[in-house]
Order: sequence, then C-alpha cells, then structure tokens
Amino acid sequence: MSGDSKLPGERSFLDGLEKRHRRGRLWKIFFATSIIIALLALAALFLNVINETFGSIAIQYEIDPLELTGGRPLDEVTDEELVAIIHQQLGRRFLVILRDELSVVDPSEFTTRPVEDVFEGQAYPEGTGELLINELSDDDVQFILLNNVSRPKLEALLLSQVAKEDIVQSWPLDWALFRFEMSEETRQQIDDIQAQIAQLSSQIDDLDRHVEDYDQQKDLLEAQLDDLERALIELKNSSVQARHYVDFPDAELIRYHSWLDSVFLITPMSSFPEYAGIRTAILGTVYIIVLVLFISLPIGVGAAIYLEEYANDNWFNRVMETNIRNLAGVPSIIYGILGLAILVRVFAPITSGALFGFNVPQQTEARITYNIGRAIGYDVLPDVGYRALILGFEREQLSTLEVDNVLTALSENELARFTANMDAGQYAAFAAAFLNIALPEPDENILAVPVENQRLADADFRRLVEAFFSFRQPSLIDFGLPSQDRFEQAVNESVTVTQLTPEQYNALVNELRQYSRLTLNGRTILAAALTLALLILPIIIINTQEAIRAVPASYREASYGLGATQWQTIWRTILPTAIPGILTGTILAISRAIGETAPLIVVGASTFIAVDPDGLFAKFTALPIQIWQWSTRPQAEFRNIAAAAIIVLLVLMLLLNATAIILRNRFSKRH
Amino acid sequence: MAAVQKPLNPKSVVTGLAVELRNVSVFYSDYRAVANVSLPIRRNKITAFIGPSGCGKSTVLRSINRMNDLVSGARVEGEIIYNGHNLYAPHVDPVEVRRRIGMVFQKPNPFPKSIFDNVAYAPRLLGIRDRNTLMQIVERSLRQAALWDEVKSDLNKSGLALSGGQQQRLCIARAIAVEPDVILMDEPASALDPIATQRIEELMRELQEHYTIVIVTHNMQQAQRVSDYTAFFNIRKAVQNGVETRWGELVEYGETAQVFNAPRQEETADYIAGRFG
Repeated sequence: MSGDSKLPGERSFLDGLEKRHRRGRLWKIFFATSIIIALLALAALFLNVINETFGSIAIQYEIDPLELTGGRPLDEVTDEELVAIIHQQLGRRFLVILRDELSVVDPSEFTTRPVEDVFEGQAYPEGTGELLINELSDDDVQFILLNNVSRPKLEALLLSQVAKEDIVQSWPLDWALFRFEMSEETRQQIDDIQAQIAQLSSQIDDLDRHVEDYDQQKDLLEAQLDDLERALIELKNSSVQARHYVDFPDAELIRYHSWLDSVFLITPMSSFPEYAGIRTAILGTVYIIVLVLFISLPIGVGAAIYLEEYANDNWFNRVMETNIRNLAGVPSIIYGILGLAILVRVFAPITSGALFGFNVPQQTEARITYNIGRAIGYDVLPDVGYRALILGFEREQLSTLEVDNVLTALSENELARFTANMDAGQYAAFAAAFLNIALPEPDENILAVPVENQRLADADFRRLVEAFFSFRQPSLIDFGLPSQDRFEQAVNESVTVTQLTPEQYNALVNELRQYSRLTLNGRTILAAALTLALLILPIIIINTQEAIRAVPASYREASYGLGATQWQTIWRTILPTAIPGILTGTILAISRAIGETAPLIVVGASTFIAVDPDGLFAKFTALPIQIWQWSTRPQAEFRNIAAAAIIVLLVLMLLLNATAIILRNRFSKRH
Repeated sequence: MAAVQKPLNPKSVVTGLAVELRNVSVFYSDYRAVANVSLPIRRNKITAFIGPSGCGKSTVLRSINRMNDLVSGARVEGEIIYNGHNLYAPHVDPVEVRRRIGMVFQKPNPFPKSIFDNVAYAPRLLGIRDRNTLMQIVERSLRQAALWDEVKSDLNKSGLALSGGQQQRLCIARAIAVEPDVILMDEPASALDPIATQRIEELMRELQEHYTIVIVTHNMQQAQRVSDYTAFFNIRKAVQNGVETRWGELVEYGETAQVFNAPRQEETADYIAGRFG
C-alpha cells in the first residue's frame, strides 16, 4: 500500500507504516482463525451429539411377534386379540401392567381398593365398580386394558412385556448413512470365511486327536484361522449389515432409529436403555431451577441494590464487593462441597424436611441397616422378614409396601445382585414386598405367593447391625457408610452384643431411632436448589449491579430533583430501567445452573429415580446427572440415550437464552 | 418532616425574596469550588446566572435545592434562606426542599415512561393515586408547559419519542406538576435548536406569573432576553505552595438591563463584550 504512495513522506515513516499495517493484518488473521476454530469445535460437538442420537439398531425378540399373532403382521391383529394375547402370555402378571399403567391409587392399595377407586376416571366394565381387582373375570381385566390404552401403547406392551424385544446392537448415524449396506462381495467373503472357519475348526478338532503327530500342521492351520478371523472381524465391522449378518442374523435391522422421541421425554428411568426416559430428570431439573430462581433472584437483586445504592464507599464494602466478584469465579465443585457440609449435614433437619414432618425416620434406619449389610457383603434384602423386624415393622405391614422407599436407594446393579442368588420363594416374597419396583425377570405369578415367615437372619449379621448401633459417632454415618477400619473396631468391641436379652435389644433399636432422627438424609431437592442458588448468587449480584450502573445518571437526578426519596427513586426509576439487564443476567445465570453437574453429584443427586419428585424434600436427579451417569455405562445404547438427553438439555438452554434475548429486545424497544 | 411544615409555607412570609443566599461556599471534599456568594432571588422574577465555564454557577444553582447532596463529599457553608429558614439547617429534609424548589436539567431527561407517567411522577411520589386527580394535574401542567395541544391525543406515548424541544417542555411540565415555588433551570435550552429555544424562552415568561425562576445560561442574548436580574460569576485563581487552585466567585449582581448596559465591574464589561470566556 505504502509502496505506491504518491504522497511525499520520509523513508523511515513509510517503512514503519508498512510494518504497522502488516502487524494489523497478522492480528486480523489470528482473530479470524480463532473464530473459525471456535465454530469448528461447535460444529463437531453438534455433529457428534446428532450422530449418537439417530442411527441404526438391531432388534431381536425372545419370542417372535409373528409367533404370538399366529403368523399375521401386527397391523392386522385387532385390539381385542392383542389384549387377549398379552393376557394369555402374561397370566397374573397382566395385573401388574394394569397397576403400573392405569391405577390411580397408591400401588400398595391396588388389590385392596374397589375397581371404581383404582381406575377412577377410566373405563371399566359396568357393574364391576364395587369389586376388587382380584375378583374380576379375565374378560373384565382385558376390557380395562383395552378401553384405556391406545393402540401404539398396546403394541409396545406386547413387544416389551411379551415378546421381550431387545436391542442387541446400535450404530450411530454416520454408519446408518454411509456404512449401512453390505456388498454382495462382502457377503460372499463372509460366507466363504465362515465356511472356511467351520471347516478349519473341524479339521482342528480332528487333528486334536492326533496332537503329537500334527502339532506342526495344527499351528499352521491355527495361524490361518487367526488370519481368517481377523479378516472376518474386519469385514463385519465394515458395515451395519455385515455386522448384523455375522453376529445377529435373526435380529430385525432398523436403519434409521431415533433415540429421542416423545416417549423418551415422558418415561421414567429404567435399567434398560430401550425403555429408559428422562421424565424424572426433567422434573428434577424443573423443580430445582424454579426453586433456585425464587431463592437467588430476590436475594441477589437485593444485595446488588444495597451495594449500588446504599453502601458507602468504605473499605468493608470494597472488600465485600471484591469477594463477591471472586466468588463468581469459584469452581462449582467447591459449592458442592459447601452444600454437602452445611446444607446436607448441618441443616439436615431442615433440608431433609424432618423438622416439618417429612421423610420419616424409618427410611433412614432402613438405609443404615442396608448400608451395614452392603459394607460387609451381606445380602440384606432377601431376608425381608428379619430386616422389617429390625426396622420395627409389624409382619403384616410387609405386604403393604411401607418400606418401598428403601429400594429407591438401590441401583439396578445392586438389585440384580440381590435377586440373583434368591430361590423362587425368596424372590416372590421380595417382589411382593416391593412390588412397585420393576424387577428384571420375574417368571412366577408373583402376586399369588403369600409372604411366608422367612428364615431369621444369621446371627453374624444381627451382631454386626447391633455393633453398628452401639457405635454412635455422627461421623460414622455422615456419608451413609462407616469407614472400614472403624467399623471393624466397633464390631470387635461388641462381640458380646449377641448375648443381649430381648429387652436390651429393643432398647438398642429404640436408641437407633432417636439417633437416626438426627442424621436424616438432607440430600433433597431443597439442598440441591440452595447449593445452586449459592452458586449463581454472585453472578446475579454482579449482573444486577452492572444493570443498575447502566441506568443513566440523568434519570436518577430527575427523580431526586422531583422530590423523590431514595427508595422511591430506586423503586420507580432505577429498577424499572434496569429490569431487562437484571432479567437477562438472571436467565443466563439460571442456564448455567441447569447445566451444573459437579455440585449436584457432591450434594448427593440420585442416579436412579423411577418415581416423580413430589416436593421440596424428595430425592432427585437432574438432566446433567442423568447424562453423566448414562455416559459412564459400558453399553453403547446408554451412550445413545445420553446423547438424546444432551439434545434435550441443549434445547432447554437455547430456549432460556432465546427468552433472555426476547426479553431484552422487548424492554429496550419499549423505551 | 414535621419540623419543616410550618416554616415552609410560602404564603405566610412576604419579603419579595423567594430565596436568599448568604455567604454560600460550596466544597467538594477539601476543594472549595465556590466562595462566599451572597445574592437575593426575587419572587416571580427570572434570575439568570452567567459566567465562563467552571465559574461555579451550576454548582450554586444545584445547592439551592440541595442536589449537591447527591455528590459524595459535597458540603455547603453559609446559609440559603427560604422563607426565613436555612435550607441547610440540620432538621431540614432535602426531599422536602426539592419538592418546593424544582429543577430542569441541561439535557432533556424524561423517564422512559409514557408522557402521562412522566408528569404524574412527582404527584404519585406524594401519594396521589386517584386517576382523575392525576389526569387534572397532568393536563394543567402540560397546558402551563405549552405542550398540551401537541400531546393531548396520545398521552401514553413514550416521553422519549418526543422531539428535543418537546422533551424539555415535558421536563418543565413534570417539574411544575406539584407546583413548586421556585424552578431551577440548568442551561435548559443549550441542547436545543433555535426554534425550540425560542419556545422555551416564551414559556419561561409565561411561567413567571406563577413561579420564581433561576436559570443558568451560557447564552448572553438569552439572559438578556428572558431575565429580570442577572448574576455574573467568574473564576478566581491563586497559587499556594506552587499549586494553582481555582474557584468561582460572584462578581456582579443587578437588574439585567443595568448589568448588560452599565456594568459596574470591568470584568463584567469584558465578559459581556466577549473579551474572554
């Protein structure tokens, strides 16, 4: 540029000018590169999430649906026939479906309340309103399902409950798009290779009989076999169809499957990815966010008004303001630790709701007992009877599900471990006691088996429980579990506890009850919301301060000049003018809170919640928790639904940010 | 509040003076911005403050309704007498002072609210909620401010949607809605074009009938056109320990015709003739 300059100038100036322009161009390239890198990263993130959310799946049925329908496609089967098939296949477990899908009463009252209560507001055969569910004829129960459940739901029930569909493999979208088809050549090669594998395997078997003679030959063949197998693996990993062809030839292959659909949004947790949804996570997030808003908005705005309008410019207020600014940068996990130490533990009577009569002590006692069992590897749960007695329940209460809360504390893995070693009778008793938990593979008519007197617990376990009760230091159960060595010490010191008389034993249990009142579990929605509110409080304060500072000084002068008091000036002029800034700042802070995971994990979000949260003192999970939890599972399908949940979370955040923009535009237009 | 009810009733005192400044000095922390100003503000007259930039005329104006209280570190010495009482006496509430002595600023500063809400702002501060009463006040104020005919069809329009001159008249209407005794105007026309300026000047003449007006202006023709009395302020300098300090002082006060045509001080004559400032 400067070389062509016709303007007279000194040589040194022109050289310098060229250098200055060059430096500017370099910086411009650097800035452009930055934005390109940022955009690429964003695009990669989105592509990755979308890739996981949509894609191919292979579905295999335990029982072929065609077999169930007598060879007819599902479309041609009438609703009535569908219900009849489900009923016939499920037997008494059919009632469990009715209870889970349609009952409006507490699960424990399902069999003890008349039909008109149980199915209130829904269709049931005329004249059966007074009857109990167990007194209905087969046709009647079929009628109820038929008339209250939609066709797609019926088909889903057939496929999930009867045919037991299982997604044996899933592929991401790029596979569905680009690596779906298997060429005839590949198929030929696979067939060839499989045939050769079979042939070689049989030859190897033959040769095994003459090992000494054919060692060398066998090695050779084995090497060939390895090569072939390697080739097969390579081939079967070349496309969706090839993998399907090799590993799951009987599975139904769906090329484009969306993991994100309306059912996913309204279904609660499940340990099976194909049935899992994020209903409880969404509800948890909504509860928490609404609470956070109610807590942090008034406090944050109030604090900001104080700092901007009332506080003098002295050292104390300066230190306070600096600290608030620093707090906004504190890592969120530290707020989690704070929430755990103070909100969950110190304020447990408040955050658990015990002060207000929520979360009765039994739950905590049950949890302690359960924790003891877990700590020593003892399967507590099969011994329902004993455990119930420990908890002070009457035997009759067992079937009325008073203790079902205990099980929500179990992960599905633990559940599977407990049930794996049960015999049929134990399983049935267990299931009967905790019916509202979905159990993996009940193959008996579980409702039919009465709760019998279970064997009493091993003396060992009893001794350990009592040892625990006798060892009363709050630190022990702060985390719900005693540390290993302190617990062992306690056990050694109390071997004689087994010699206790019944009276002494009862006194011990009573002690525990008193004790557990003090150690109720504060890991509730309220504690989580308070923690997140603390987290975003500094952000809201800073944003509000900025918004207040942005109010033109002339408005303030005008208001004072008209004889307004300080409060009138704040309320009538400063706040109305600052409100768009306050709102956008708050919404952005809230959208940060929605995405926070670490503090919720520390505060104690549950990872498996199948029941909707019912208030401030409910246990909770939240969207980011669910995403985190699913993404750590080994099965690929969980990563698919994690990606689907990420999309939901992103949409939620985009909505919030859009709201912030709309609010800002609307308010600034009004002025 | 209770203590000022009695003394602040203007009708009970007939002195011909609305406000009187006695030996007023204004300080910002330790810095003395204006020194020893004494001058009368006559009732139902227009008094103009003129002088070069930095001479403290605005500072003196703002101290009359205690707007300087809003600046942290600002302090006033001397007395400002309003109806026989010192406005800076400890028991006087500045909110009460500003309700009696209104203010119009250099830049039109209507609130981002409707025209109606702008004018009704001060009455509402006093607790008037009745819509009809407010409507009467708004109409009277807008009529007095010569804005009624232009905005009566659309009182819900934002005050910021008006032209600069209309905005300034809206600010005047807003200031007179609670019928103050004195209106302080800090260069009210300096941000306006000549036509709008002329309307404001006409308006001041009309308002004079009901109100006492003090105006700060840079425009000497304006002062000559509208004011009855003129106070000329100038900058004083002194070097103390090698540091130069500046402050403002009142040089001359008199009837406008006398100040402009036969100034008693040479400084005044120089300033009016445009030889500095």
